[in-house]
Amino acid sequence: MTIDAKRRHLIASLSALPLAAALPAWAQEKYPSKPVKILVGFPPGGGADAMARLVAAKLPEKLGQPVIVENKTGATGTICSDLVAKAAPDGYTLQLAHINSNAIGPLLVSKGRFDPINDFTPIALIGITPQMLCHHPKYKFADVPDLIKYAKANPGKLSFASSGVGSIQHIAGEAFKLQAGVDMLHVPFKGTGDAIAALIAGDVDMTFSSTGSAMPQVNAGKWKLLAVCSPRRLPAFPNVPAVTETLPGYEISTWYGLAGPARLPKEIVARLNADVQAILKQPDVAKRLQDLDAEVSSGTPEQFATFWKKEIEKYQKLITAARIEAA
Amino acid sequence: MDLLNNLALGFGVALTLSNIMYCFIGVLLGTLIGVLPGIGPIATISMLLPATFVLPPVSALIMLAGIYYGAQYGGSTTAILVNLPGEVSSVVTCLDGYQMARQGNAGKALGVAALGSFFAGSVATFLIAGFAPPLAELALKFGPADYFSLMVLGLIAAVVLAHGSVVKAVAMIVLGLLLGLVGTDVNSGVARYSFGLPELIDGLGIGTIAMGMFGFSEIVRNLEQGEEEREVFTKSITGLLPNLQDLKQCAWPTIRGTILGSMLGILPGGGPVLGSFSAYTLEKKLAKDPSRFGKGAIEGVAAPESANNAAAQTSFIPLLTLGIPSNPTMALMIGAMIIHGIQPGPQIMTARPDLFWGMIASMWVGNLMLVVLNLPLIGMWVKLLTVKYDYLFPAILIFCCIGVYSISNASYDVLLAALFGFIGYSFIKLEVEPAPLLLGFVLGPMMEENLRRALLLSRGDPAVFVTRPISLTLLVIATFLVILVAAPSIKKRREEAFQE
Repeated sequence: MTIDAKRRHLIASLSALPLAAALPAWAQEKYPSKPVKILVGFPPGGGADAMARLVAAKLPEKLGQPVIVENKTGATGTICSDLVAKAAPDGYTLQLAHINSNAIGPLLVSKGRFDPINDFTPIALIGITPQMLCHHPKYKFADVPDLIKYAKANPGKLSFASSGVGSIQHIAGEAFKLQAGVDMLHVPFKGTGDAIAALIAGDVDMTFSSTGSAMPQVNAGKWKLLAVCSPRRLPAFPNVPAVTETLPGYEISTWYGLAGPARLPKEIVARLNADVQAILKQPDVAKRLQDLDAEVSSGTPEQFATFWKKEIEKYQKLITAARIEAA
Repeated sequence: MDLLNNLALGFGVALTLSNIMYCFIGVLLGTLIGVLPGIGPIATISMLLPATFVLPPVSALIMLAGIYYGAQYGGSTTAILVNLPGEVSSVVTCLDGYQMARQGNAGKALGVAALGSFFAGSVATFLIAGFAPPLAELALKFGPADYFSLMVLGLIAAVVLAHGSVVKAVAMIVLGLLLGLVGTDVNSGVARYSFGLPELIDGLGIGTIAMGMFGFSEIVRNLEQGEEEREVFTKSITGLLPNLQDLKQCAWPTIRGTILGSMLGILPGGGPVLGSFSAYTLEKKLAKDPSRFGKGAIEGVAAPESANNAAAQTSFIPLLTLGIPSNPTMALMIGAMIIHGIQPGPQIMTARPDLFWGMIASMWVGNLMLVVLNLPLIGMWVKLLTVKYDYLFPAILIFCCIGVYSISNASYDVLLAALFGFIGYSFIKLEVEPAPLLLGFVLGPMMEENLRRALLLSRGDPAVFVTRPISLTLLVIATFLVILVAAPSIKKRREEAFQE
């Protein structure tokens, strides 16, 4: 497998060499001469899949070639990341990079299988969805300091649900515990659905959740929204404080981006980045992203690379400090 | 009379020409993929999801829902004809349905399956229309402790599932439990029995196991027999449709299966699989002559088929009233709603009554279409059995492999299914029933997860299992069942049945 991949790398780079040297402009125009695949590490219907399909629906206009979304699920998306890390850097195998499959997952589930930074070429960040801190309405917390006061007075009494060990909700909770200096019970579930149900039923006391999962329950009065985990208050909820106002620097958000294997030719990266940025500016795409509760957050490949690296460093620190372990 | 007004609104939406058409496309596709082993509603819905972008949201959801419950109809077809569960919830149908087919009664089995499913679908649709919000509240009353006790009850009931020795049944359940442990432990995040393979981190797929153990092994067993023997049962086909006597015999099992399936479908997690297993167990327990089960008892087809279809319908309740998916297909439906700009959640009933009631009405319309579609098809399916096995089995194998591959686009799963085919073949040689293994496999992980969650939330106090009324009731019933199985008179009867 690896030998084969290496050989393919070699052949690909060898064959690209004379072209790149002699006819860079021609090579650049010529790039998509066959369909492009975007691999997604998560099942269809989820946020990551929706993002991938959104981009895949618009890219063919720009590339002049079909773009296929393939769901390669498993091990919090890291099976997919592993495939992309070992794919030929020819621009025909791309990945919808996601916080779980490309930052937290590689640090926990697939530790050592691939390098989450050096095995990938960042192309463009697509969107960011902040997490929200919600609790069961049986509690009447006024704000985050009030919650912390209660948790300090009753160590270990409050429980928070997550969609699994090493999930972003789990990490958000552990980060909160560490920074606020409180003790709370982590109750992992298999997937977001069960965790949502448990908080509606009051089996657990609170959870960190994406906007899309949280808002319907909050609007129906089943949950209470206490704070958002974005770096500042969200424009849509000006009266809801950000956790960072109480715990400076606290910021947990899901992010989505486009990436490829390491050593992806610069021209291809630049081309795809420009295409993605143009797509994100289209009004219907912007609206779709809004429906998915994601903030458009694009920029250069370099900006994405810096962001990605920072995220991995941040979560590595958190995982070590909170002693989170997974396979 | 709100209900009538709402239903009028619903049928107004469902009976527009275009929505009838999308509903028909949905149930037709559902039937087809249900018939094709392994290609389940999840793969189909995900493939079609992008295609529905251009449709109005209500039409798209009506079509996608049709695929889901249509698959429950189609899933029984191959289970009965060739011992291949088209859907996981049809595993139990294999037990008696396939035996009926071997006796030349394939048409009857397919007929009661279709009619039972229609009855169950209609009742369950009525339940959703009339009582969805209170039923959803009821489901939320089920805490982790209650789930655990329900699973205990289910496993104990599984012992009566097997015909033959209790020891072998228990051994199969335990093996199923062990296989269920493969993968990431929910509480600690540690991978168990994964041998360092990332593919095993999420555990084994029940589709892979069922396909291998039932489908592949049956093919090997068939090929092993001489050509003469193999052809016998396919040539003596009598009674294309169930007669009045059959229908009478199936009336109560269908009703009981519908009730059980409707109840279990509301609870997240179990749904159709649990419904069909428990309906079968119940019928066997109630039957005057339980030894008929596993040898072509018509009730053994009617009850689980009604149960799985009822459960398939009622599993829409948590989705439509709370926005919570009760299984992976429902999670996909949530994805579909979001893509169409509909926010699933508790407010969907008031915010989008056209969608809520339109979908409910379309479910009934769809069920009617399914029965009209399926009854005439029976003759065709039965004819399929007369095709020479030499041509039939390569086709079955190919479809199985495509199906298994499509679960997560991994060739690795196909190899795994082949391995389970070998294991299933050894089970045939050892004369052990694989059905309890599958039940153990489904229930085991849920049982462990809820046991540990209940204890986590009670801070380690085991009293939660007896202080919660639902949990206590279930445990009392389970204890009663144990006594029943252990009682000497029953043991004697079981052994007699085994020696036959």
